[in-house]
Amino acid sequence: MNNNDIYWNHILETLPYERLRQLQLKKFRRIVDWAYNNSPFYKKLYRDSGFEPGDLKKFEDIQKIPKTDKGMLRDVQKRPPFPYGDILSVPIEDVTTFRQTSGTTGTPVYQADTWQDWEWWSECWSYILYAQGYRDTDRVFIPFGYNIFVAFWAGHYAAEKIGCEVVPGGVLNTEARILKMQELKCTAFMATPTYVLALAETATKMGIDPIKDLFIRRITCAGEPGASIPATKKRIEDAWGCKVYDHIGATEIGAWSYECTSQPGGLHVNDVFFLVEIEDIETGKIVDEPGKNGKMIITAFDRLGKPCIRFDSKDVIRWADYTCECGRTFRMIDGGVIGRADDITKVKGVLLAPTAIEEVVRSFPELGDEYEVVVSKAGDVDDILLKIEMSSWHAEKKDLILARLQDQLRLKTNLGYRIEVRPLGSLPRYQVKAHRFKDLRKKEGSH
Amino acid sequence: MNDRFDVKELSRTIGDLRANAERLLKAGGEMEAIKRNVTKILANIRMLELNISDVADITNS
Repeated sequence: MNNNDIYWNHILETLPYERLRQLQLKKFRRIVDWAYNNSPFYKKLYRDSGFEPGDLKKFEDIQKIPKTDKGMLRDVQKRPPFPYGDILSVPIEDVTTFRQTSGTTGTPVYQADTWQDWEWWSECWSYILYAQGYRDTDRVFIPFGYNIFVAFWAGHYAAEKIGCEVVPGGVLNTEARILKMQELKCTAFMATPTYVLALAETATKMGIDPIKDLFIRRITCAGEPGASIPATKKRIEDAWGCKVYDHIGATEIGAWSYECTSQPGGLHVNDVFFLVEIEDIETGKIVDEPGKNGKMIITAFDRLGKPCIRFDSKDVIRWADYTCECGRTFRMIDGGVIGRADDITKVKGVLLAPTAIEEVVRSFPELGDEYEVVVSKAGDVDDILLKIEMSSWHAEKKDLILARLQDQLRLKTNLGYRIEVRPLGSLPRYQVKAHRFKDLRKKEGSH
Repeated sequence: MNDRFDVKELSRTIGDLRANAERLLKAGGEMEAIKRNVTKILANIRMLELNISDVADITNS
């Protein structure tokens, strides 16, 4: 292996823009044709809209093709073949892997993958890990209980594919995982940003300094936007003394975006495996200019068992106005996933993205890693309660810290907060998807 | 940098691999040990096609 080569596939990763667009159109046509001819769901969707695959002649035609969304994926599961429904594009006997979404936003979506699809998942992750510096000299620890969710399965197999030695830390508790990482001198690990911070906190409590007593050189985060939130990234890097990389993926899509070692502030889109479009949330028009937020519409070109074509992911992203010094020609999104279209909510008449609160809270070194936001109604008025953790060491400066926090929150979000200070370690810790933002207004309104 | 490899030649070699694997499947596919292992081989060949063959016929315009 040529460890000096920074690319997994230098041909595709440095493909000039025009050729990249040609390749994307070719692959888009191929997956649409496949879905139309093999999935009753897609055939009906396209026929009902008056679209035939032959209508797809130029890149701009892509925008005429109907979108799909999670609601449609849930509905289709009510039809045979069990349990996927007629979106399935291969004989059920060819399905070798079941995964499901976490169900955070409703009924879980079931994902069917063939053996080839699963190899494709690993391939997507190989692009990610190689770009983040993983090599066959790494011993990679995965402190996560693999299960029906897709999380870290593909990371495991991609690390193996690259030649890393993979240590699955599934059933161990946090303390045992830290000891195993220390014993085996593991050099890298993958986890949610929340759990990366929790591991450092636990290690410190055990008398183990993550920087001096462990051997971690790189961490890959997934599952939450934290590793792209500068304050959270800094907090993790300070705790572990190494680089922390973000990646973005989803069960029904694939692993479509990643940071490389250059870390210019954004993530590369894997343009040869996915087509990412950004749609203006209000007008529905496709956004090509940098810096403008919109929701992502995504296509996975090569996933055949259950195709993902023009899927409205509800992830809010924006194109970057910079390129990366790494030389990859893959387009960049600035700052990762900024939020979710269905998470950005109006509070007191102001649009609020929960990630903005995290950016402020995590920028205060005096505060603990965890926080919680509860939005409720006090009469007719919205109320925001922000629960934070603070060490008793800062008791004397508490009022000053809280005043600064209020100022920064107002500056960043245009909103005022009631703040509740809790002792360090008292708020819930999460291993997978953190639920720090609780909007009780919907529940109250439903009674 | 792309000059380091002849993409069309690589693509032809990958095509030969696929043809060989499919020939093996046709000849011995009734045996599970051959069928399942060739299926895995074909999945890996597909990854080579995605990495190399797909771009072989994409030209500068």
